[in-house]
Amino acid sequence: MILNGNNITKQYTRRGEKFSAVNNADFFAWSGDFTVIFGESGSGKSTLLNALAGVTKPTSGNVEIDGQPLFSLNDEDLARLRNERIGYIPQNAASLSAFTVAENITLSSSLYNKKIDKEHIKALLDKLGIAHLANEHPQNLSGGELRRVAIARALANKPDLIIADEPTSNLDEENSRKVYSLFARLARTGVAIIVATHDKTAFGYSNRTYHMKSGTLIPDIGEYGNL
Amino acid sequence: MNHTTLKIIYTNFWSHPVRSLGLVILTAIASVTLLSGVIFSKSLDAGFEQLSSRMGADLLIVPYGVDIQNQSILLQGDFNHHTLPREVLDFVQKLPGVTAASPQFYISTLSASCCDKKVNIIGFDPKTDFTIKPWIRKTYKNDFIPGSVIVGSDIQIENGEKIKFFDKEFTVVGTLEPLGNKLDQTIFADVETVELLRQAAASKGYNISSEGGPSSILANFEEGTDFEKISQKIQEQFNDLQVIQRKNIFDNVIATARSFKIAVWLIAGFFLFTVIAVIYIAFTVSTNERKREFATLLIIGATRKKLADIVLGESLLASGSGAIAGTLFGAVGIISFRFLIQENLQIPFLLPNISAIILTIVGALFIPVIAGVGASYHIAKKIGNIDVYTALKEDA
Repeated sequence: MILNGNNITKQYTRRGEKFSAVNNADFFAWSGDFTVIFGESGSGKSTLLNALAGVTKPTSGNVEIDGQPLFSLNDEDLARLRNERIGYIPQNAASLSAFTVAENITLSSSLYNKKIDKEHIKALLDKLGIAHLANEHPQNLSGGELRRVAIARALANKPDLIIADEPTSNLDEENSRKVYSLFARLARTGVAIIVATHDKTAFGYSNRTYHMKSGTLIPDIGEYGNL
Repeated sequence: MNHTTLKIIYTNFWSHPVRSLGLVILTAIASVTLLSGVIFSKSLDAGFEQLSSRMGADLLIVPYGVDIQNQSILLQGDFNHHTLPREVLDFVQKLPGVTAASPQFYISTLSASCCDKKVNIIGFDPKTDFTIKPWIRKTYKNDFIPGSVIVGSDIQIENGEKIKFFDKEFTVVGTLEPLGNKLDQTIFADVETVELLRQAAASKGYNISSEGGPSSILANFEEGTDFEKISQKIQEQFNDLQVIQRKNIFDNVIATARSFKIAVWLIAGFFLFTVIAVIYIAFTVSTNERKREFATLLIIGATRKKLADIVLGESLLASGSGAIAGTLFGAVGIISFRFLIQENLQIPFLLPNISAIILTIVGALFIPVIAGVGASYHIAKKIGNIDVYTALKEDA
């Protein structure tokens, strides 16, 4: 699997004036890559990840998975691709309040009437330390627990690309390490991992790094200490 | 829609029970008013059509003292023993421009064997009658034999059975089509039968009408005849009577009925508009609250169409449940209370035929649903075009 983004630009209008949240970004990731995009708040990381995940169409440029341009797909095909191949953990992901934690996590499978791999789900919940919350409703969970629910939901369908936006926000150090360890293990099985964060813990797990500043993506920044 | 989508719709419906039930009740009211509005109008129209064919005369002559402002004179005659002099009929028949004139006799009996309450009888002359006979001919085509009667649709006596007045038995030879007014509870007989009845009453010591004079005379004119002139001639010749043009009485009845119809339509329109407004507002608020949920569904692989379907499905569930409940309630209510409506409004009220009722029920079911779903369509479209980044950022 290869994710390839070319000349991605995303413009928004703020107070009547256009500005580029992402400006001509080139990006690629191979199967098994653990890529970290480092950057400060407002640097354009989330916008770039939305484009890479196929949920926000860039103003210009394109995103391809295995040579297939995402934004030339119709609504149905793009939705199915997101469902089957991409596990996206956005920064402020919500959970459906009327559903239990377990139902929220298996939602991506049940949306398409897929058979739920209960063993896989149970293992995910155990690894993320939320197995005891399976029958709770999201409104009874803390911010950190909700974050782990969002992570479990993104991994439930065994995607071959995981895109995570600040996955460890709201998590303590121990839980952050659990999450990155889990991502690293998945990367070793061939899953491509892309993490946007300003949590420096992530660098210890990555094999490729980018730096995002004012909408511009700079590849291979090396050790975070040099930033 | 798969099971999960339906579950999302269902669970969200019940996660805001007050709002959802409010929408259901509102749509139910819209359905009830729509259903009752249409059935009410159609019933009035059908009642008037029947009444008009029954009252196919240009002119009505009644004794002085009969309340002509009260449309019951048209519906059931006046049973207060007022009668006209016998000579009036001859005089009217001979007036230039009059093409037909026929007497009617209104008799009120005491409790009869058929009924819990007293029965009204309208007597007519088959030789001259032009209002009752055409109507009776629809169900009874033979000659009128003295001693036989024809009953209104609400008098539950089968053909061939006997009905007893003042210890004299009369044979029921026909049952009339419903008219939707008090004539449905009336018995019709020819003049000879009326005479038999009068004699039977007299033998028991009752005087059921004064001196055998007609209770009213109905007449038809040639086209272009001046009603005022005819009326003047009759009143110059006879005192103590009133000459009424049919149009004048009908105007009163029609005006009353029109007011009812307008009121019912206004109420139905108001509730339909309220359904549209409330559904639009409720779904705007609800979808704004749930933008992050919708964005999350999109991220995990829901199509944009599915997001729109969820909004439309929720609105369909609310408006559909309301429309079903309202239509059932309205249909049962109208059918159960039609006699009460008839009694209290004193206007002809005749339920339309079954196909018109079914069509109205279908309309009462679908129009509020279309209005409800239509009101949420714009919101569904907006949710279908949701920008994930903005939605997640705005509500975080």
